Amino acid sequence: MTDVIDAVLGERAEGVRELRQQRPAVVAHTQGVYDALLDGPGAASVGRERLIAAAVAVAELAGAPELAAHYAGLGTAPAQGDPVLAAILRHAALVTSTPAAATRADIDALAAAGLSADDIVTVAQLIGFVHFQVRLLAGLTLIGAGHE
Amino acid sequence: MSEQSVRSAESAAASRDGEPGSEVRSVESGRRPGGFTQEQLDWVPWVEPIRLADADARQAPLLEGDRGVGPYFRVLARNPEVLAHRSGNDREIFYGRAGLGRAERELAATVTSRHNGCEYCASVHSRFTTALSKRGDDVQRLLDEGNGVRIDERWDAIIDFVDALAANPPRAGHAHIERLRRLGLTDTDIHDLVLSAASFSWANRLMLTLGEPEVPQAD
Repeated sequence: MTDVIDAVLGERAEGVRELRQQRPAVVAHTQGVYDALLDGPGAASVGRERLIAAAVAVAELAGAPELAAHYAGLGTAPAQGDPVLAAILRHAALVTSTPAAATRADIDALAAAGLSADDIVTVAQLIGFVHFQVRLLAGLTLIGAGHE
Repeated sequence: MSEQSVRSAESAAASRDGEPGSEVRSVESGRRPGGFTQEQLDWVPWVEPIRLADADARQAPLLEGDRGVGPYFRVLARNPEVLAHRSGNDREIFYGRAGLGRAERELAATVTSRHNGCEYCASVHSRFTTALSKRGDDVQRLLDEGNGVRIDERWDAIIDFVDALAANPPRAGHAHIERLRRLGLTDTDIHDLVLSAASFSWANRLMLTLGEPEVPQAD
């Protein structure tokens, strides 16, 4: 079974396949989060293309161009000048680089842009999950490189 | 319009702030933690948690037992499909059988939380690390001095690798992996460290941005 982590690892996936399969529940739930984030009811409410654009931005800011390219390949870019997307991207950059600097006013700014409480949780999970993927991909790449 | 009413209008969609029963509020300065601690902290949400009584058929199973008491999981239950898989992932990463010992998985969660500045997450997972390792003094030094602390060969190698992986962008390199291998960690062990650091690179960003820690009221 190929999942998104394998797909982004590409040729490096084979070297860590057995290792990943030692925790099959992690493989399954990691893909489950991805599917729920992009195809669940929460995605429809925020706008799938906005979530994808945010994932591209977070992956780029986290130094993961291959993951960013994966997300960029999923769909069409949202319209330029979308104020909701602008608010999401501003928030994503803050949470990526200086999460401890976030304040209640940053959540209020998302609400003021038109996101519901449910939407704000979906956006927060999307940002957090991309950071999970970035570290998992970096770690698997390092472990796999030692056995070439 | 007063500053207070502007703020209420802006947060209307995210909370029932000011309405009866709202759990959203700002923590008074005197109740903010003074630094990293192994003491119990509370967490106050900036996004309104669902009420347990309002949980639907997708949400209710995610909020059984302790999970329905505090506000954190009731906030995340606003996207129940994501929370269900996230919780399943974390259960395996921290409680799954075989692999790295539980104490060092919790150590990696503490180191990641220390890196990101999440006092709430660090308090919970430093307590777990202490309970599992019986090394409360070493854990406290980590909290006090930060990830540059020097403890012993094995913990230093773990701390350095996890701190580098938690950095944004990650700066972990081959030298970190080689050092862990020389100390006897298997690829399975290192994979478990990676999963713990990855999980908390995510969890810290939820706890730091959807609410804030509070020192509980003295009894």
